Amino acid sequence: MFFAIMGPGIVTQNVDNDAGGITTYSLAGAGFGYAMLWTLVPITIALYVIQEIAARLGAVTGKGLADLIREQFGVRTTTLVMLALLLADFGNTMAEFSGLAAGGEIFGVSKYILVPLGALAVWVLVVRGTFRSVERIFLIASAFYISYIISGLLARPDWGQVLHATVTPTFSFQAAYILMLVGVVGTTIAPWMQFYLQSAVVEKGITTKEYGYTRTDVLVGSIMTDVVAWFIIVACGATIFVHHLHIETAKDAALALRPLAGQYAAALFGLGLINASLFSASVLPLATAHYVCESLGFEAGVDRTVRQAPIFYGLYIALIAGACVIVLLPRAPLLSILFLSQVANGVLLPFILVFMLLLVNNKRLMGTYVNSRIFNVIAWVSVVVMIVLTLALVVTQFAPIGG
Amino acid sequence: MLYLSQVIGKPVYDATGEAFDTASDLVIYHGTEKFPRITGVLLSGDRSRLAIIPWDAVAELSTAGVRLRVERRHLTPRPLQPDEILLRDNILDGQVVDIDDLKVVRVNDVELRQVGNEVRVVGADVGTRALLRRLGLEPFVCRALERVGRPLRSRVIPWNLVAVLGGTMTPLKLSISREKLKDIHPADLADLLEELDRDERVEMMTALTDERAADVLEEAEPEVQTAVINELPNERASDILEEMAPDEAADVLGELPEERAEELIALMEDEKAEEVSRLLQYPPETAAGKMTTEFIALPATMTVEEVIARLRETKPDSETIYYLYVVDEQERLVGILSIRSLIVSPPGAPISQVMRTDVISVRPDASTEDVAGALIKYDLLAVPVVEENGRLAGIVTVDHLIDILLEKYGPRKLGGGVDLSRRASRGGGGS
Repeated sequence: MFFAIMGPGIVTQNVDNDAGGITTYSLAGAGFGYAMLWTLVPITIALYVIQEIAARLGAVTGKGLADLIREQFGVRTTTLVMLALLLADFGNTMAEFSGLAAGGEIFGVSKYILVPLGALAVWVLVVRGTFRSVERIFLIASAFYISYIISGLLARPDWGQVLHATVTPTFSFQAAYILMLVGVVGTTIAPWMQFYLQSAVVEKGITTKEYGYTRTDVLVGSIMTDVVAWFIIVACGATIFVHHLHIETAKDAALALRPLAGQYAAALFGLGLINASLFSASVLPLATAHYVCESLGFEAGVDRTVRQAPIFYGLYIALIAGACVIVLLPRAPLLSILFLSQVANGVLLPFILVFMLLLVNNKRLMGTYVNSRIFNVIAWVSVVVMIVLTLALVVTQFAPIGG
Repeated sequence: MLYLSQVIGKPVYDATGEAFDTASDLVIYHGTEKFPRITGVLLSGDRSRLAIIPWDAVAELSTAGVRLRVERRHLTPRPLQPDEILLRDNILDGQVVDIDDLKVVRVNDVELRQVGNEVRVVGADVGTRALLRRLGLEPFVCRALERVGRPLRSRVIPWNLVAVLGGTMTPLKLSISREKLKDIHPADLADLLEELDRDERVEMMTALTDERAADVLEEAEPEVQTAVINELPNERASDILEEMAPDEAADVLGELPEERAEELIALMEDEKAEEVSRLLQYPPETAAGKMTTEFIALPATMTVEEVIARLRETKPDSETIYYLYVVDEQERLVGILSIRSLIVSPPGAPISQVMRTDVISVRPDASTEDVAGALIKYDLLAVPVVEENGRLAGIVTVDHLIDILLEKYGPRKLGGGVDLSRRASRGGGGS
């Protein structure tokens, strides 16, 4: 029953709450208390609209986003987009492994043990298991996200205040605030998600007939992902922010939660972080290698041998091993890695959105399933906001984070 | 050597030498010719994509552009004809099937050649070199690679070995696709099916005959089976399901939403529909869920001679012929007859005397593991499934055992080494 309900939309959103996301939300709550909560409402709307477009593109055309970009915009555009995606996802993969390292440290496990073990586990899971069993493992694992909700409840926030902050927009022109806002938007609406969701819809064989169902799935997923984000911000806002503690990573957040919200809140937080990191680390590098190879016409797939698909395996190994090595460097700037990966995402996102909008409004491709005016307005506004925010981020990149 | 990418975007000159537009696309007639000829040019200025410059107005096509033999004002553009396709729009950057290597490949460029006063499509370039050419990096990278002693070769698939699937399905296009796919083994087509996009899959399954489409679908992975049936129109889907073995059809239908499965069953022949619905009621992971109802049951009163005559007449499938099941009037299983005992026995002997009565059988609710165990332990090619009252309900054959084992222990790394055997079998004329 559980599996019957979970569709591509919900799965994608659960992968989305990865190490980068958890860290960013923790920092947002720790640094600004509940002041960021209201942004989750417009972010959820934008997230739903954008993900719905991706899902609809998949259901109507029966093709993945990378394929469509290649077929409609040619080799040059595709190569540029794929290079950018590769770079952004290399950053994301590093973020996953640094999340794993941080999660391990909460329980006193050295990163030199956990990260290589995690990389190995990811490799075995993906290369040796069938897609089906892998997906099942992911789905079961995503139930762990409840741990953030429990952490939020254990932190005993002032609910009246929290709800008020959620519906009252506030804004600050502080550089640190804008920076954090970019981080939150960038981590919630990531470029790779659009590729991932669309491919998942295509792979499930969803057509316009079953599309109504998928739309609900995407809506539920978008709300779920932001509910988790909301609880993380609340948990950190109710404890760390209130006590004016300075934190820099998700690990700091978990450790800070311990005396304030109790031992279990911290442990749950850590467990969630490890799970999220492994979950996304299993999906991201593999998916990225797939998109790059398929759109450029190289053989791809874990059912191929290394000889048959050298570029595919090369990319996959480079992403995992490269990320792993950098994270394990003795004085690796994990925080900067995490943050720069969000920058890469943020810079790439508007471009991907523009391509998606051009595709979804193409009558020859979509027929009667082109975008409605409301969707176009929301999506274009998101593009503009993202570009403005990204520019702001570039300007303030070196400003201190977390207030 | 002329490539499509070298022509697209190049100026179009009329007879006076004036460059009045650029070439946006080339039109080919997608007919039975091995190497289709170019029949027209689409201009970039033609936004509605309706006015094709016919080929007889073209004097020369080269990397410098398109030179027309008439003046601009004398041009008589025409609309796209039903069996014409656009090379850039429909072929370039899209997927095609390499029917020699049995792979789905992406077209990085299209190779053209001047033949008399026609230009024909001679091949699909799927190599990295074509990618580099379009990125403008070809000379640079090729020189660098030659210097290190590993020159980059181009990979061009001759056009007669390329199958273009997807797009508008005209009767002519379907017949060409059928012709191109006709020598490929159903198992290989099933592999291709997994890599194709939806439209391409639909075209493949529409182009094949019902029987071949059914064979292909039987060979495909369960997820692909469901997806394909989902994507096809109801009539076509039910035609294919009808040609499949009832147990396979039931497996596919069992994965579909109930409503759609009922619609499809309603469209099938009554007899098949009844059988499939009965099979659908059994839990999938039991003997009954895995069994086929295609077996040969004989009354005990027949003689050896009569049985052989009947087999000659009915020509049953190879899967079911090795064991013949002997039943009484109530369809209860009383014995089993091997082809061997049939051949070595005197023609006039009643089969009740030559059959074996110590039959190994399983109950309908036996687990798949028990069924697999029985097949392995007694070295059987098939095991009968017998209901509590002794009625013979169906048989589970050894190829289901292989499926059960694969499901349990994973299909990974299997099938990677069959390239050569497949080659050999295709050389023998396919199936």
